[in-house]
Amino acid sequence: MVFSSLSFLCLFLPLTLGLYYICPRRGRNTVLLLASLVFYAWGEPKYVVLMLLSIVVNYVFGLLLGRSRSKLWLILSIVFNLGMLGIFKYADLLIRTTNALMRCELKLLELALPIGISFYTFQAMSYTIDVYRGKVSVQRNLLDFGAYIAMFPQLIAGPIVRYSDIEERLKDRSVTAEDFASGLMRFSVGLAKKVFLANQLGKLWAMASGLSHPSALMSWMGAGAFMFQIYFDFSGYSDMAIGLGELFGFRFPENFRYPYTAVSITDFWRRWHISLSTWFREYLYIPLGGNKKGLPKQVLNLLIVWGLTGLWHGAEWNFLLWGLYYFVLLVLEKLFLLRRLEKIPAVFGRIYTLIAVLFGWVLFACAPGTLVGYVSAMFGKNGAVSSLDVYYLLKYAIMSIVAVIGCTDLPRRISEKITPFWPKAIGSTVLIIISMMLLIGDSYNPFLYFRF
Amino acid sequence: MKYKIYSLICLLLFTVPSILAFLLPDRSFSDNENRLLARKPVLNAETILEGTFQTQTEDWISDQFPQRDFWMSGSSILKKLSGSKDIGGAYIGKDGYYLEMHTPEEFDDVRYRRNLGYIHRITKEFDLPASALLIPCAASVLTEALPFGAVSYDAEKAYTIAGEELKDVILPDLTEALQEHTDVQRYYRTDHHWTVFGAKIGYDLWKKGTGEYRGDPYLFCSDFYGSTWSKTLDPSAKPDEIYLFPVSDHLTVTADGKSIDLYDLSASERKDKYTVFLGGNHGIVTINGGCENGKKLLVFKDSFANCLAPLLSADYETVIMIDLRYYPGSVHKLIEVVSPDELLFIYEMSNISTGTEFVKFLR
Repeated sequence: MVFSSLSFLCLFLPLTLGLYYICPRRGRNTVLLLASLVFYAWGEPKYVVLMLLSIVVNYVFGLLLGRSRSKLWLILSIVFNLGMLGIFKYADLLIRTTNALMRCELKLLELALPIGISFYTFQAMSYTIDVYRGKVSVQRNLLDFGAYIAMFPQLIAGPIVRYSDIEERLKDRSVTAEDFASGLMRFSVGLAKKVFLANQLGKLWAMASGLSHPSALMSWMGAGAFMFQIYFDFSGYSDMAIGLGELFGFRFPENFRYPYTAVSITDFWRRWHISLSTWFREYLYIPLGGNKKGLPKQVLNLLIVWGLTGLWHGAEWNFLLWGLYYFVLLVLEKLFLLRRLEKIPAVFGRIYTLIAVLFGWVLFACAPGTLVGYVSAMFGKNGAVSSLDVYYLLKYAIMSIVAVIGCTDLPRRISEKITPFWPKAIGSTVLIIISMMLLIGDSYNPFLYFRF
Repeated sequence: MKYKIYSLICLLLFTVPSILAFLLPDRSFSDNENRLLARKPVLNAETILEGTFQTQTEDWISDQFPQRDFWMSGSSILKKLSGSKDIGGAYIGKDGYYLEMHTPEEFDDVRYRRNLGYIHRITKEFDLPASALLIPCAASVLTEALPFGAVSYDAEKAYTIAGEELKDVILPDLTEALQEHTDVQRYYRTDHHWTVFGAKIGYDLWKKGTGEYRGDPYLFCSDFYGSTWSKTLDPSAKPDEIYLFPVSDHLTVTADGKSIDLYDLSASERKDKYTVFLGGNHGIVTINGGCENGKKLLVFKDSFANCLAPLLSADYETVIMIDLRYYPGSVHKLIEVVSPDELLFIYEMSNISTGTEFVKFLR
């Protein structure tokens, strides 16, 4: 199930909230677990088994690691989690590649990718690794642990909540009326970002990338539209997740901090999908030695981290390429570019970052076979403009202006200036009504994270 | 307190619609969208495991949302406010026109040629005099009504291609003729079809002014909101008028074996008032007795031809109209049995570039 659907808004959410608050405190994690399993089962009922397996196995590894912090249990737990990812996410990519390279015909597994698997296996690993490190205590209640792994607000599109982030609140939490209202506000903002901005601008990208010979102008417009779409979609989901978390008494970490206002790629990755970068830093980059073992080792570490970051986003070679693209940029910045950028006005850094990120998204969004065609269209292979362009430029002009403003911290600064509650409450209600109108009246509502 | 009131309002917004949808009886049909609406889902182990319960639930809540038309109009207003000049596949044009969007990219040249090829083959096989009325869509003719920068498929080019594919078929250039007659309303403002006035232009061009039909159209209704408007549900639209050609009382009309009237006057009670012409689309319609010259015309057509029936029956004693989308039989057998004097093909051009029924000409 996705948040931006009427069955979530009008059926699942009210029912879950009702059951949750009727239930006495000690049963609430169980309500949350059961609701999350229903939420997960909505799209692919059979994979609930996988989710339950992941819960039980990681729970047991937690107990074992609690008894003796032996490296064996840690390694086995990592092998189990990565093994699940490997089989369900990467096996077919490997088989296809082997077949292509070795000219053989191994059979593909053709398993549908379990939704959110990359998110919840990473969450599970944060638990077992941190138990091993002694950072968190062992969770002895299977239902509470299940509620953490399956927790529906962040199940399918993040943020990746580390166990240490919510350990305390899993045990004991309370929600004031103010928390609840603030959660709803945050949710309404995320919903509108997804339904109003991401979905509408996504149509321009869908159109431009579907043309057989897009002009240069159209392909830039399309790439820009995708850049908006993925930001408002993804950060909208995170806003909704954080807001939903508040409704149930959790505080999830922030996942986006105005990434398109970054002054360098290094800065961009401190602002984009923060919970993923944090995870890779905590559980991969630093254990590999980080920047403590000399420059060559650091570059190698970055290569590993960014190759894997790329592949985390999808089992396809263009995602690896996308990760390596950022590896190159980040290494260049570390070597000299960052120092140069600091000496010139920040606006140049921003422009460079936006253009680099834009080409990054083209790499990300184009299937391997279409990439060259699209990029060459951006450089004018099919001519500068076509008869279609003016119409679409005008059609999306207002939306794009709203989107540009939405990428900055201006809306937040304005809302902080408004101290009385009611203007904000009315604004939030209007956002909900607008989103519901578009959900009913508009069929275009894609889910972008089916590859994650 | 204020936090509670606000939270309550939000939760009511989420809950009230689903409670109402659950309690109220399901609506079965949406006139505006011209489709059946999803009904309450079936809950059992099988539907859950297959996932059909889940998708049906989403369809049900969306289709049976209380005051659905209000929410849909709201969505249209939002899109208009956000600068969009097209909604749901229809341009919001000038002077109250809603024009179906057919961009040049969507116009599939390959399929267009292939489908024309099927038509050509059948005319060659039976060696009958044949004509084709290939009608451009409204947006290709009424370019001045299009929003700024909007484009439609190139009807002149489509006509040229048809000339290459349909050798020895009489092929009047409807686009040019329709573009020239700026003095009459050639297409409905709210519907994708041409009006009787537009159809008359096509008929006169095809018959080179020698057609037998005489008669001036009269007003049938003036509250028609057609299919292109339905895509937008724009609340600010004005309705269309439908005019009809006067017809003689001697006509006998049958559709798929049943006797019908040439004009289904009960259409004035329906949403889709264009169905006044022949009562909508049928597989086979036979019209007899418009004149007494013994001539037989076999027409293969889409819905654009429906309003032409009275005119054709003035020139041919028997007019048989086939809509291949609804006609299950063999075309070859039909032509052998009917043995018509002439063949006529009436299609809107983009329908030829997208239609899948043309392959039936081989059967």
